[in-house]
Amino acid sequence: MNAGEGAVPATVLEVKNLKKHFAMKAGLWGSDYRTVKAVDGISFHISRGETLGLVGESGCGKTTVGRVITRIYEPTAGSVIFNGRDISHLSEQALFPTRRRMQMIFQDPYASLNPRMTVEEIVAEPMEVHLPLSANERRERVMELLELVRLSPEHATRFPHEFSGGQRQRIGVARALAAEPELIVCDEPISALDVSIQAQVVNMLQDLQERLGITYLFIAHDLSMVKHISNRVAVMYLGKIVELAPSVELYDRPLHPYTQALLSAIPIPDPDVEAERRRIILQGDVPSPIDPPSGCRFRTRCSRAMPACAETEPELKDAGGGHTVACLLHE
Amino acid sequence: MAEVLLSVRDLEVRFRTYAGEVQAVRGVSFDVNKGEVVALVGESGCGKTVTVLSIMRLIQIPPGNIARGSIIFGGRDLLELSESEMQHVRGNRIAMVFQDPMTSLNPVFSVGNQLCEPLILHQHLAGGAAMKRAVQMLEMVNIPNARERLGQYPFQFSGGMRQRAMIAMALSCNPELLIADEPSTALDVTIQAQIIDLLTELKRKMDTAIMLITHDLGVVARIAQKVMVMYAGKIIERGTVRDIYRQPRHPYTWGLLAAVPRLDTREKKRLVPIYGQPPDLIDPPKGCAFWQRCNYAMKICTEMEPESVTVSDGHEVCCWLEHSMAPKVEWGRAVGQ
Repeated sequence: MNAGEGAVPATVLEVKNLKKHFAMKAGLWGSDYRTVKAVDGISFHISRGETLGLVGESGCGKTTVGRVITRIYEPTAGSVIFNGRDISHLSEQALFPTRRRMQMIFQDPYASLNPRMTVEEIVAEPMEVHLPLSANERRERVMELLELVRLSPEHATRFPHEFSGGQRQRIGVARALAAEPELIVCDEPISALDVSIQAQVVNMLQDLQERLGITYLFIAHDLSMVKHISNRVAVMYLGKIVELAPSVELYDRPLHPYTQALLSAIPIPDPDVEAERRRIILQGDVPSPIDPPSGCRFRTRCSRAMPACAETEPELKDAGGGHTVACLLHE
Repeated sequence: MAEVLLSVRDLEVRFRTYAGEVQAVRGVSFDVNKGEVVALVGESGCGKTVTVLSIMRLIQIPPGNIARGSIIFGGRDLLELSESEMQHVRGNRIAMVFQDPMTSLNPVFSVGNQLCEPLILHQHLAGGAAMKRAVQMLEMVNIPNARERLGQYPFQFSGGMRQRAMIAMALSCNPELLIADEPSTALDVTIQAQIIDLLTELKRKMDTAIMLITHDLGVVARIAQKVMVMYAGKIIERGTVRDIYRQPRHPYTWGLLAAVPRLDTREKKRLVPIYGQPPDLIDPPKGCAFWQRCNYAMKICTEMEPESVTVSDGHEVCCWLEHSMAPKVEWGRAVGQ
């Protein structure tokens, strides 16, 4: 954003060995506890103005990652370094000034807006909390933000139920922008929308990034859309990142068998291409994160699993060109 | 010439609401041939689910009202059958798989119990024989340990397995037509691929015609032979898969194809959204329902509804651009491809 300031670090966010475990009541009387290892040791960084895509199937822990980064959840272990400062164990008070620098856009535009507040109140709320503005200045800024997300000023006095899904998602974006964030965590921001509306929201997110230099963590399960919007993509499976690469590279040369299967599962809207494509159909479902398989977590569904996969847990290794993969086949 | 299995003519369905009467389906006609996969695509609210629920006679009346039309299946108009006659068709000769496998199975009965129900009801099998057949069906949809699984309840199944159980149930009476309403939308991509492959394989094995409702153009390209594009309660373009993907003629179809990014392209082109919203079907616009969102709208589009024009054998489109006086617009250039 402020290119003149030398103090702004090029890396907005760095996540090191992040873990988030949830205790879950088990047993007939709920007296036992079992641990769900939703996120189990992941590391990555996001540079300023970049979009990192985070993909994986439901239950792989991608939403939890977004929520630990924004400190909606407390991390179990590991660190979240935001603008060079470890925020993973800051007190609520110490964290407060940083909160406005990272905002979220949620999946369901029907559930994430308070139905009793007007659009103006919704968009102004983060400013009331974080910015020392007068009521008039706030009002002006709400109008600016509405214009930025292509809503008109007369929308300000309306309530969320008067809007369509795509418009509501734009209200959510305006609210996220209100406190002048550097990082926006987009958690499945378009999956509840129709295809024609998805393109509107994605184009808008890209325009905003160009104009305001915002950094995105884009969490989604739609690989075609993630490829379209991201500079780099991380693939998660059962709480771990199995592969991370620049987006074109990941799609051209997927190395991990899971990534290969995931990519081949996406149908391409072209009957001739579809007729000739070779597909890898994974058998079975994702195992439970309570008791994940030993060694490589993907081995139970992997067609190329070896005996060693049950024993050694593969680490993310560099495969050249910023491409890293966690698989024994590539060690 | 292929044998026609289902023939829908001029179907009109309306719903009474407090705000007024919603014209959900506004004159839809199509045929489904034996053993063919036909896809019905369109955005939410365009009337695709209402169309197939009408075929199943599952529209609640009131508030719904099938105002006009006929649905000919097996030589008879389904709309004129009595409820008890319809019960011999529904689940037996026409079966349906719903979008959400979480809510379409009954949580308080075991999966086996629910799988046997159509077999006992329609095939008049005794309990033991029905169970045997249920085991075969579960095995056919690749559920391991089928025998033990039958005694379990839906909550013990994962999403993909529930959807497979639903498909097993739908196919258990060898229906001539399977209606699948967004069968893979609620599932993860790897599970979606399993379900689509399963449907393709079962279709080959049992020669069931499938009517697939979806908004995913990729899934359509993978499994369908014919495509019908629906917008605001009408079918606005129809043709073979190749017609629709290679030579689409309606600006709305162009829009649908250009709005989604493709996995197999290297350059990142900007997506082309369709601006605006679908029209309010309580008071549908005069003329073409798409004109407000169409980049090529002409004066006539706002005045008169376009007639269906046959482009080539089986490829039909409702658009004024097909008129000899209209300017020529090519689809590739239209969306910057």
